[in-house]
Amino acid sequence: MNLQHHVVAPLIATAIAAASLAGTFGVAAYMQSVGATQRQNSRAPLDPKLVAGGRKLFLMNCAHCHADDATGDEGPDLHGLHKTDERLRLLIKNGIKGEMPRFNEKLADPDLDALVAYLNSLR
Amino acid sequence: MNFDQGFWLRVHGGATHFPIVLLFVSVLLDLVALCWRDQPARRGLHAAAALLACIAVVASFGAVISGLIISRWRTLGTGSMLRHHIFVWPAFAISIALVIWRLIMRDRASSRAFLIYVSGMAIASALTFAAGYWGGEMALAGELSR
Repeated sequence: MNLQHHVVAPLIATAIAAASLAGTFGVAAYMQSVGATQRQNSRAPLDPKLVAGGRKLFLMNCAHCHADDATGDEGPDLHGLHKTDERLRLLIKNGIKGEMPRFNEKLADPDLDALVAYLNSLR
Repeated sequence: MNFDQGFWLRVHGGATHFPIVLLFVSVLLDLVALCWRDQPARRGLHAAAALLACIAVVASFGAVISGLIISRWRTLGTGSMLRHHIFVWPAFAISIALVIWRLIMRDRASSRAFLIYVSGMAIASALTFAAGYWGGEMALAGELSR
């Protein structure tokens, strides 16, 4: 068994695996930045009052699972969501079975508008 | 064809099960070969295991890419997605490294080195199963389609 078998082969294998992983992470980071830029460019301006109202509602109803800064705790990170406003409203209203409570009785339509505006401000 | 989230969710579902099973069967064939006494059959089992491991690694790129698309290119995320990724990335790296090593070494590896290889592949396979479990949790909770 020569040096190639003992040292070079594992080194090459590790280098290729590391390069594959780094490449995948690099492509993912690039695609994330492209997506973020596209979303920023295509977004309509948000009403600051509505966003502030949504933030208040968020702190009262959602922050204990999604954290005060919405970066996620028990529930997922809410930054960079790609869902439509309608989808967000439905999710908040109906919840997710076994995962998130429904808020259809607690929040009225104007509250939902404000919450959705706040979530959109996190994109 | 509509390349929306649902489409990639289906592609990921299909693409992941392929390498999961191939990796597992590859480890199984290598283990059977280690216990087998008949030399030609042993060689055949090892060759089949090596081929399956190679296909699994190639297929895992498809699984990883489709997975990144549905996670919106998040390599970690939070909650079930984070748990899924904690198992995915080591499994991905370990299986690539070991398959490349096997391709370079072919049948020149010592029995000790080969045992380390099979152990590593078994760990990668177990990690893949764990990743699949958390992937299933995400799919059931509808975290990816919402």
